[in-house]
Amino acid sequence: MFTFAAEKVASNTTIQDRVAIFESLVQTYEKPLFQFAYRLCGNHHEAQDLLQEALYRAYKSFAKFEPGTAFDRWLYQIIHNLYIDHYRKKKHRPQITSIDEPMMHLENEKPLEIPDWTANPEHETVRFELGEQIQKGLEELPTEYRSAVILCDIQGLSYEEISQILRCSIGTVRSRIHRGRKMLRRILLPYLKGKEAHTP
Amino acid sequence: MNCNLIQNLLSAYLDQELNSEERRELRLHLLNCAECYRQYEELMFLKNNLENLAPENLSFDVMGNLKMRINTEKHSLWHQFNHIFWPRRIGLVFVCLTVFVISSFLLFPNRKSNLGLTAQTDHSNLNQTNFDQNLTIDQSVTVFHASSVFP
Repeated sequence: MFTFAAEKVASNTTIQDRVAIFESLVQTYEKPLFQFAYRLCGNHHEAQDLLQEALYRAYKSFAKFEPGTAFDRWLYQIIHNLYIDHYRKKKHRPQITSIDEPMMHLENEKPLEIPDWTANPEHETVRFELGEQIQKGLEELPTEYRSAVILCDIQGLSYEEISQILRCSIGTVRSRIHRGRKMLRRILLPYLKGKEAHTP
Repeated sequence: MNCNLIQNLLSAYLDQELNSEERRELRLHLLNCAECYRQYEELMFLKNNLENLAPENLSFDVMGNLKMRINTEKHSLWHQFNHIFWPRRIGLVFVCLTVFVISSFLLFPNRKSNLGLTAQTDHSNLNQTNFDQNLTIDQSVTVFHASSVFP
């Protein structure tokens, strides 16, 4: 389906057709693309901005899109590169904190309030908590390891596909995934083991 | 294969990225090595948790936002009038270049083609000052040029 759509991009020149093809491809892949952006950034707003910017750039250069290459992998690559650029800029920028933010030593005293939106709040809280823990663990990984682990374990891509997205060899992908998982295991294992022990 | 090498291959084994020979050797090793098997189980546990992670809800209209941004850009003043401004800019640059070339010819009349203009100016000067009434026009021009070279 994808290759067919990509070949159409090259042959059709009208803007309406181009927009229609682009729209159908975005609708097909928007959820996994957002997942990738979210797991990279760690919050909704940044993920939304990252995805929007990536899609905007993809739309701008859609006419140059190479037929035969996968649209989702192309966008994964754009998202990854944008995130790396953003991360580099962020690293050199001084961190701004609000004076209204609670003090670190007082933060534990404030109870965390989670709204009950579901029929089974206990189950949803556990899922939410696990997701939060994994996200925190992912955020502690270096960007290269994080991207490789997300693309492999959450997005379910093969090493070859990941090597095309991250523009490195399969050997490098293999080593990044292994090191990333080992680091993540070290970070998450106490939590995961504890959860397993509590489960009846 | 030793334990160190096996542990480095565990992730690739879990992802089914090893060849059949490596898979066979690794499987045999796992049957006999408790430490490697423990690490294998921990990695598998982690991988399963990552795979079964609840997907985040996509709470905004991706394509709607993108279309809005494209439309805003299309209707912005800059994009609307950009095609009008460009020919004007090119015209302005052309006029500037022409003025520059003409003024440089007028200010530095050292070329042969400009001698006529210089000659006319010099002749009138000579007449006004009565430089030498006995010289012809051509001679007075030559004298002027020589005096400009050797003051």
